[in-house]
Amino acid sequence: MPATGSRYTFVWHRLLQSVPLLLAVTFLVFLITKVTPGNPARTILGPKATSEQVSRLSHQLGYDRGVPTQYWRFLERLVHGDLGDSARTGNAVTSVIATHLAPTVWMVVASALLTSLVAVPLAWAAAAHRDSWLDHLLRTSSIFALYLPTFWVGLVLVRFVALPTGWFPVSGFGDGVTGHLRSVVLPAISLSLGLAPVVARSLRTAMIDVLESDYVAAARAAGVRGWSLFRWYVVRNSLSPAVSLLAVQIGFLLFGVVVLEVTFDINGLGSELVTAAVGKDLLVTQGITLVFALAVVVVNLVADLLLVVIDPRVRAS
Amino acid sequence: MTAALVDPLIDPLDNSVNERRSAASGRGRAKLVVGGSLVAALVLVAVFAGAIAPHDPLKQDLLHRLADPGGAHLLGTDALGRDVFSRLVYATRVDLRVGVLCAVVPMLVGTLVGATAGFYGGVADTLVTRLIDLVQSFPVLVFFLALLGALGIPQAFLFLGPGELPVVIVFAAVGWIVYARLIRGEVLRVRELDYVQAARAAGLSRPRVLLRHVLPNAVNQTIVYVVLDVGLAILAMATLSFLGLGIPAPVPEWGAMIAENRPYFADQWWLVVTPGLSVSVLGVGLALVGDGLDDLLKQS
Amino acid sequence: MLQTTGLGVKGAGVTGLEVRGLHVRYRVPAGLGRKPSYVDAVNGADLSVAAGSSLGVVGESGCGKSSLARAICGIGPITSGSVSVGGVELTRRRDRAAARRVQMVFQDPTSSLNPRRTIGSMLRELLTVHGLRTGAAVDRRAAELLELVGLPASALGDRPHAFSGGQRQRIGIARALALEPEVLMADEAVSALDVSTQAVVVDLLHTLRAELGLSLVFISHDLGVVRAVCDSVAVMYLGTIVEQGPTEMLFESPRHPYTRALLDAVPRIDVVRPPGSARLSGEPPSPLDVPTGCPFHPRCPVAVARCRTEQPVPVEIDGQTVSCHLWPHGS
Repeated sequence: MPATGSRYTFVWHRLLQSVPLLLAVTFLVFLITKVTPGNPARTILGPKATSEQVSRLSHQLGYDRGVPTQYWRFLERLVHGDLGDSARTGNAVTSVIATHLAPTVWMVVASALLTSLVAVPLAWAAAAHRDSWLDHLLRTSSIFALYLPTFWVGLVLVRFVALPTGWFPVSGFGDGVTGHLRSVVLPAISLSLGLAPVVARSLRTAMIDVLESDYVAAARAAGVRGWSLFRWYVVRNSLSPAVSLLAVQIGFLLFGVVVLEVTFDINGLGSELVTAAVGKDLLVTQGITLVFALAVVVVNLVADLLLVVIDPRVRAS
Repeated sequence: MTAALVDPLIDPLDNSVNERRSAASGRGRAKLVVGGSLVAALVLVAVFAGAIAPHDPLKQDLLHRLADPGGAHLLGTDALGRDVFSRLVYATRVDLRVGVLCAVVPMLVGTLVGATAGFYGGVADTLVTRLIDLVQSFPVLVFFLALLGALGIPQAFLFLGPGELPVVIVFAAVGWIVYARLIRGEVLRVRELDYVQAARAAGLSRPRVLLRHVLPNAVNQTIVYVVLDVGLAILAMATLSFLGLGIPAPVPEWGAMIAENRPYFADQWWLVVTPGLSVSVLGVGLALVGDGLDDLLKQS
Repeated sequence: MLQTTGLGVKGAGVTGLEVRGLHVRYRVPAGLGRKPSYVDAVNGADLSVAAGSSLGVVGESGCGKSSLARAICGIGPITSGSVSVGGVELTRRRDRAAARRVQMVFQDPTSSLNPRRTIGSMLRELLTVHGLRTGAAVDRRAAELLELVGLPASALGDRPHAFSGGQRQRIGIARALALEPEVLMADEAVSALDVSTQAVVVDLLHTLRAELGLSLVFISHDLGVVRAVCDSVAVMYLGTIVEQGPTEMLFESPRHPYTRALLDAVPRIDVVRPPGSARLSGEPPSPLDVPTGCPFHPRCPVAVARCRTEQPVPVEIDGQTVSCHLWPHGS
């Protein structure tokens, strides 16, 4: 079968699959304005608005129509890049998102990088030396790590590392690239402390499957040993489970970033989302949640497409 | 074992398997004992909070703000002069109650849906499969946060304290899907086993076959999962409360306590460290119980 | 039609199990946009087993033996045809009283018993749900059933993992007998056991059949066991019963080329195989793609042109029924 043709078909199929998923995801995000008790237009405009203003907004957003119509209106406005205005500040939600995006991207990238940098070698080492102290340590620490509150770890790091040493800022996003970099170190450590052992443990299982496979046994029998066995057989074949595992954790990682932005007073999308949610600023809450939801869809899509490049078997299936 | 008598070559191999199994069951038991005692201790604290706590957790004493540990206040007092130890004790009750509900309610719903979907098939089955795909590519916890903001924080409801009902609703609304998938997969597997076929051939009614022959053999993984889930739910709830979206002040709750004591963290570090440790200890206890159960169930 | 002389003590000669024109067809789901295909697992089976006698069903794996068994027991689909016991037709959907008339002993002694239930609770459930016993008689009957299969009453309190494979198979038999069925279906009931245990369980089935006047359907790929236990034998190939008749006659003078090939494939000490005698070559074709005409023709050593186009109809010759163009007229 022509490899390029089937690769093309796979990409096309995967993109098609995303359409119903995007509809479902946007519908869930749309629901955020529907679960509010009372008139959502009233909530959006705040208590000082006149009842005339409220009914005008109700009509504008379609709240006086049925739910399907409202959802359709939401999609229409979404396509035109209109997510409404903040009830608190009156700014357009899209501009709120634009101004707060950068710190969040920094946080996400730093945390994902650090998590991979810790998890991948840890998993390789544990899989290569099964039942060693390292393997057991990984298993145990993955249990403990899962139950560490990330925000609490962040605060502890601030109190017992940042404050006494002064190496890292206690809060804020800093100035310039070095300032940003120094600001995201502790949040990234807090997050990967919880995430890395969990990822490493699943990755270890995937790698052991590779190590116990017939083709590795065959390579061993053929005299391939040590580093070259590892490099050419194990690493290559465990790349795709690693990519999938990291992609699966993206939702968890994003929530961690939201929490840590609040913990470290970094003024990104996460802290903006929490402020909006606590203040019942519905449209900002909805808009930022949508950004996070789309990020998860896109990351999963990119991971799947990446797998096509890494793993020839994906194309065949 | 008969196989060992027939073929002496099988013997050593067989033994090592048995040894590994019994080692696993030994480890499983050890985990259960350690984890079980941690959890049991905290459950006792929650049940007898009234007897254990020396002070009213809500009673303010502005003359004794931020008192150091020792004397009348084991862990000192917070910024409003409330006894921190008593608040920790009462928080155990709140966190455990909500955590258990956030795991058990979705488990019950999910088991019902998943078992029906798996056993009877049809539309319910397709729907559950689709929903699973959706949940897997959705930032569920961020969504919880947004939903809790939109729902607002209502007052106490029946035996639930302020803010607890929305948390349970939000967790149940999504959590059931995970359980439904788990149970559905197991039911699909068990349904085809011969003893289920035998029960059907014996003319037992379908609900009876499902309840007495299929479900009891399909719930092992779910039991392990629900134990782990209680801990994760507590962690998530504490996080949401820390952000100001779960359990409202002045209710003692571990995450909320960390938030309210945060400004004084530099000098009174224990005000923040102790609630966080409580979350971890309970979580690890539950994880050990779950993991130990898993080991034991796997080898039986 | 086939008449077997029952060896049973009770109810000999009375109609036990009657299967007429039984078809079982499965739909094989295809990918999107493709047409689903069908598998004819059982293709018009006619069987009859008198009360107190036994029928062996033999054939290679995948020939439809298990589909036949499951259809008869009411746990598999029936596309058309009828299954009746004691002259009363049993449909796919059976009420409790109908279900109880045919019971099954399964192949795998580990998966055929619910690991979470004690033997006692399993037997008691069956006895009470069917209202066969009440009160203290339930426990007495449960103990009696175990005794019937040669196990002590103390086994009632144990769970399946406490027993060996042979013992579990006895428990499986006790479970089937609990409902006092008229037909006992044993689907490869001994093939998972080691040889010495096989003999014991086969013996047990044999005795119980005679004592209780059961119709026993014994499905197996082991011709030796079938010969030892069964009064008559049906040979299945790709969903079709190609030959059936009284055991000794069929073993001594097989008429269908497939039966002959099967018997030749059994290693025997007393016969020196003549060089060049018919041996079965190749694998049976996929049930998804059954050949036209006689399903056996691609592997048949004596096939003629007609076999490729025309499906042979069963004809009776001296009490044996055979579907083969070699025997066009019958007796």
